[in-house]
Amino acid sequence: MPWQAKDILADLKSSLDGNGTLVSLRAVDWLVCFVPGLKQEWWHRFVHPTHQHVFAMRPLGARLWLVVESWKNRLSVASLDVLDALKFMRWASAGDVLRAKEHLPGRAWHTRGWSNCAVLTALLLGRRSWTWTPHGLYRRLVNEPGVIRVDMDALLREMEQLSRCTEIDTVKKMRVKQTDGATDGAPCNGEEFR
Amino acid sequence: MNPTARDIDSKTEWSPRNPVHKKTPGAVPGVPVDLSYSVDQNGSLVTLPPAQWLICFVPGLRKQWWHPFVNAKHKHVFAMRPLDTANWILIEPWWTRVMVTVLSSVDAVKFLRWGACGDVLRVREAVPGRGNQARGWSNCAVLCSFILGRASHTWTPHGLYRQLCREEDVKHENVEDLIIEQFTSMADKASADALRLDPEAIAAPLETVLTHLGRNIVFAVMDPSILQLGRTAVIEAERFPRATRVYSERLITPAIATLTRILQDASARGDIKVQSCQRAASEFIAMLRGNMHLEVVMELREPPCAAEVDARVNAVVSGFLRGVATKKASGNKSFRNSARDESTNRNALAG
Repeated sequence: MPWQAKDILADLKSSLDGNGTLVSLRAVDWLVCFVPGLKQEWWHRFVHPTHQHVFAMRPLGARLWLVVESWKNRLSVASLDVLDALKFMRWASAGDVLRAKEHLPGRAWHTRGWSNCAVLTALLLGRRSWTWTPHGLYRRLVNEPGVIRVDMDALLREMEQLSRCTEIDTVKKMRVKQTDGATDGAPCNGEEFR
Repeated sequence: MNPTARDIDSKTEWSPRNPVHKKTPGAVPGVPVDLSYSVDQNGSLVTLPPAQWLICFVPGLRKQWWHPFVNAKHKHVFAMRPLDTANWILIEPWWTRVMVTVLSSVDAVKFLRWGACGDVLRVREAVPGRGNQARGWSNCAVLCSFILGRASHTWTPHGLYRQLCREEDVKHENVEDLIIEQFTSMADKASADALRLDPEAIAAPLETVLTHLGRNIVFAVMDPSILQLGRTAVIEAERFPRATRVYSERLITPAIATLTRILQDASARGDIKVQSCQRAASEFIAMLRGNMHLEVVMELREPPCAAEVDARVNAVVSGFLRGVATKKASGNKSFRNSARDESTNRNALAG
């Protein structure tokens, strides 16, 4: 039976959720990584020494990680296997990593003029932000309740171990560094981030 | 002039006692050196082939005041692409955020259906790209062009559509074909994995072969991605019947064909006696799936564990062979079951 576009639209409209989207998804946690640049750039002297770039990543559960990284000329959204994700984590360990939950339906703003890595990451997280620098976004996020600083060394050890394992879908533990310096165990597997 | 006087080479003789570490060009303090050296020509840590995105230009789902000023069919744009597994990456710019998420095939089909109301283009992203960050207003069209790495000066989805249509490699896509493509690749992979038989396995007694295959088939149909595929096939049977047919033709039919061949061989050897090997194979698979598969598809219960699968397959195989084995074959050790085994098998089937 041939279907009509208006029938499908009417069907889809009836299935919209409160945020106006077709599928209701829970807000997920992202690892927001503030890192020094991999190559020296002329503008690096004007920004924070270890927060020169920012990207976001999160595990997808089955050996995959989703990495969202703003380049100069494109927005890279890629799924990486554990070994490639490990490279990004090692890079992240040179800076600071925050674990932040995205905001639904978000409070970010489109008309920011210059959509650089900090602006696009704020847009990804649904955060209203006025800063154009990764360090500005870092200061904005680190003061938020619920945002935690991740001990990347511990996570790296876990990941290196996992990359050698054949079964990755076991329950894992990520050590999370509290603001007072103490460490606490927090579950870290794909499900937990979804 | 003092005869001992000579010219001093400032480079060699005034150099400090401890040689200064020469700065590695391009290396950044704090970053592991191997990482600095492993960036590719695009400055990226990992070199990935440019991905192909499905760019969906769609009408709005809710009325907005500005809709009269834009193209009737192209009021919004989002990007999606399948992952290797049964999941899709979706990037949809909202008013107040950009949603980057991973959807199951069932949810992805909803977005594909939305795409079917407008136009869907298959576009390869440009790496390292020629996009521009300073576009002022990063709306859906601007963000999608940035994802694709395209230099663009338009702020409307229709403007981006026209720009992409002018490119040579960009293809218009039919949504039903896309769903069929997704179904086919998933079903073919599951089917190939489940029905793979080594020559040694084929030479084994019939009971062993059926147990091996039965176990693989149950695991394949209980796989989360195949379960989702089945649910999608049911939901979209009316709109996309060709896609639903793929589920049956690519997943169930090959299993029946493989089993038919095995049963025909067994029949030729005189191990079994059946009127139709094909019907017997079909019934064997129906016994394997039973109510358990329906309950799992409807999410009334969790998929079975390995022990439960083994018990069920053993029960089905012994029950099936009792029905079809000839008297000669029943005398063989491999076809015999003790009374206790039969009782266990009945319980497994009932469970």
